Amino acid sequence: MFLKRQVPLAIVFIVGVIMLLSWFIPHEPFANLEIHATQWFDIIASFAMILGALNLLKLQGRKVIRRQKGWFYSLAAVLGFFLTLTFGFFFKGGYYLEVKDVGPNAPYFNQRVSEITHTEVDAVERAFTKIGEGKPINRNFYTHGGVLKLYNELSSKGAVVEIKQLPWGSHLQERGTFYSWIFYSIFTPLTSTMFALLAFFVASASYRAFKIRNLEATILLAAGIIIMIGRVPLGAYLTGWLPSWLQWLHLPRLQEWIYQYPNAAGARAIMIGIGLGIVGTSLRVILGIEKSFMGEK
Amino acid sequence: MSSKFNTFLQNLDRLDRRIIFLIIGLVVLFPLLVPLNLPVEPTGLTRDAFEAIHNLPDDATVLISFEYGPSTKPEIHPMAVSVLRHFFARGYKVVVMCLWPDGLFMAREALDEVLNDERFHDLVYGVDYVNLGYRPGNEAVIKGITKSFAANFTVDSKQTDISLIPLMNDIRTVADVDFIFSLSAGYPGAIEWVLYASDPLQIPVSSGNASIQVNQLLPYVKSGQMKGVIAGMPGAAEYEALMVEYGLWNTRGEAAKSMDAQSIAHLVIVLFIILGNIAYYAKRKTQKKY
Repeated sequence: MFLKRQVPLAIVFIVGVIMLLSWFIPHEPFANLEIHATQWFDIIASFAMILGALNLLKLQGRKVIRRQKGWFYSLAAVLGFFLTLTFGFFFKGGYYLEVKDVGPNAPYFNQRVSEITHTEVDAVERAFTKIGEGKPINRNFYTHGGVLKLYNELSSKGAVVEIKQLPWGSHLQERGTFYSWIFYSIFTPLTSTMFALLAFFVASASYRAFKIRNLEATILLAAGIIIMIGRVPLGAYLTGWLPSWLQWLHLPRLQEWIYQYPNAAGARAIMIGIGLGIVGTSLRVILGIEKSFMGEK
Repeated sequence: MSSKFNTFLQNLDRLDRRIIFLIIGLVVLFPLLVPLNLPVEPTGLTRDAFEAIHNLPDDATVLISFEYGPSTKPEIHPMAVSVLRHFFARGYKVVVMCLWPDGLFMAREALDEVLNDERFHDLVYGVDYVNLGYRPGNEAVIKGITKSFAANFTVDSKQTDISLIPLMNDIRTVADVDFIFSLSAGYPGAIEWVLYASDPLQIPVSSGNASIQVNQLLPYVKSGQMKGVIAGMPGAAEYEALMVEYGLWNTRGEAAKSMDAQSIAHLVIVLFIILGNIAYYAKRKTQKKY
């Protein structure tokens, strides 16, 4: 009980008080505490990620094994997890050619590189005028076989090229790697579709929910319409003809006024409330009153 | 009012949502196929952000952080491209970093798109700009770089040791940059930059955001803690218009083109709201009668 209860509470209290004090004491050892704290955070977060992954596998795996309702979605989650893990850590792809010398047949080289990199021939020519110790061709291949074909083709025309592979880590953002294939071919279309559906649901929900039932609803509706029309070029177009003494009715101006005054006031009130809430909760955690982080009520 | 018309109005209240979906789909598609070229009028919020960037000293170093993914790409990516163009056109040194894992891809795409222009062909990686990539840790990373970049970013996105990157030799902490720009679609994002870097170290910050986020940021803009804000796709279109106005670019960008579709979609949504209210009143009138 002592290890499970008193020790965590003591750690939270000591660390909380030290971190709080370090904000006000710009001298050693307090001055550099933030660097250490952020690195501790990174280390702990890494373990949390492992725990999170194991938890995901446990929950989704159980659903699949027991064939619970919607088990195929869980199967997709588990497969997606392993696919991403495999392409992130084991099979990266990302083969490319490094050019040491363009060789005697430069026009052929420029033309061919222009085709595979989708750049102008002039740009390729400029890029490979000064090669130095070696310059990569800006096109990655998923497999060694793919890059080998180009290697053989360019070598046969006299170019001096070398097959290389992207280092671990940098393969995460480069095209022509399996990880980026997941990102561009699966993740991007899925998340974009989900977000794009919002336009349809917003239209449908506005039609059904935005009703003039009372004064508050009417004010909300009027503000909503002014913002919606005033934020887009159509608003400026529709009220652009107004004479100067009626410029305050120009829709973009009206919407900016709503944005900057009533809306900012509301947002500020919410933020102050949240800020006070954070201070209160933090003090409760540091003083051991709030114990939900230990699984207690 | 004839009873037939009254029945029609009442039936409108039960309009099948698939019809609404179809109409929205068509009105969004039409301006994308046939551009209307509606004029874009920059608002004060966007102008403030633009001028804060434009008026930095010629040798300024700026930090741009990517905190968005593919879902909000249509809104935020055009402003990422415009802001990067603005930085490079003004000759600033640019440090790119990401607090979101997807931000790494967005940063790469935006840099590729901007640097593809022949005006920026002379820029050298590591000297004029650097992409430090993604680090996990959310606001802890921001707090970390207020003390040391090297402790948080040992290598850049190409796995080059940070000590071998000439641009990073002069940048030990975030206090060494002259301006921070956050391209943000949520948490961690612009607010965290204000709270943990800009305000404590007094570094000017601005931000480009998804429209839905702007409400939360306005208090920071009004208090002067944030130098303007680029609000969603309309803000991106306004920024593009300002780039043209200042002679830094010469064509309408992606955001301006998309604003035609958004204009018509908003108009149709407003028409739906009006129609919905007419149907609601017709129904209420009949219910009162009986």
